[in-house]
Amino acid sequence: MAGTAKNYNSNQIILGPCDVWLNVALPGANSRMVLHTDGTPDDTANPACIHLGMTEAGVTFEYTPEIQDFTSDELTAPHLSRIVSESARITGSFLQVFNWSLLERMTVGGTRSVDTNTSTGYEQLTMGGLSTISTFPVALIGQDIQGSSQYWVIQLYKTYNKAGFSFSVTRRDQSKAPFEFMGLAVTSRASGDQIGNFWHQGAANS
Amino acid sequence: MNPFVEKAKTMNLPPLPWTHEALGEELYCKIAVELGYYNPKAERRDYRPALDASPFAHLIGKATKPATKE
Repeated sequence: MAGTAKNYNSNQIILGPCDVWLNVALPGANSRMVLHTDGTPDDTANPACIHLGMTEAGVTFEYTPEIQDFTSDELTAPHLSRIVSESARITGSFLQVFNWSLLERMTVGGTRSVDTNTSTGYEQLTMGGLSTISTFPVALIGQDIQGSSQYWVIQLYKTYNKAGFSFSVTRRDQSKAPFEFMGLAVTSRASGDQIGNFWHQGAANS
Repeated sequence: MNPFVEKAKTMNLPPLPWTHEALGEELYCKIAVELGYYNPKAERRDYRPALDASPFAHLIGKATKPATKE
């Protein structure tokens, strides 16, 4: 008889920073998005992705199952539990509110227009009157704590920014806008792989 | 192992990128369904993300069997 080894392992923590990428490619079944060696999305596989840029204080990922416990009159404790709904979201506050490509994605109901004339040109976001929501995949990518050129990825397959677009302007602080990428189910994907994935490069470490 | 690789071997896969814009609606939907991404017909028309072709990239332009006629 012997004791059991404890699991203190400093290579199994996550330490930022990380990057948020909008409109990345959708991976197939049993697949993961392709990264370049520097941990950014491969530009061939992800030709239309947009980097969210700087955030105020990093990013939060949250997966929350809502669990229904089933009880009976005869027992004092639940005899069955089931997931009845689940939500996944990536939240934070982004700083680069002066980027109109980002704003078009972040406002949900906004439409970007551009005039490239060098003297009279402009970028514009118009809002109001749309009721549908455009959705797109989002990925959160960070580096493996071991310092190798390996990365971890959280990808939500279908999201929109539920937080809308709100920022203040003041002399004393930089403007920032909260975001909340809400994961929706891609219902035609296999059960268990409809909202997103969380994976890391390299061999299993646990 | 991606279970759709064998299927991909029988298809004439288009060149990259696999975006909706590059493929067009019909080919995009065919690839999305037959190679296991998702069913675009079950989604709104404005959800057409690029399809990550990496599991099949080595097969592009290399169909081993003629694609079946539809």
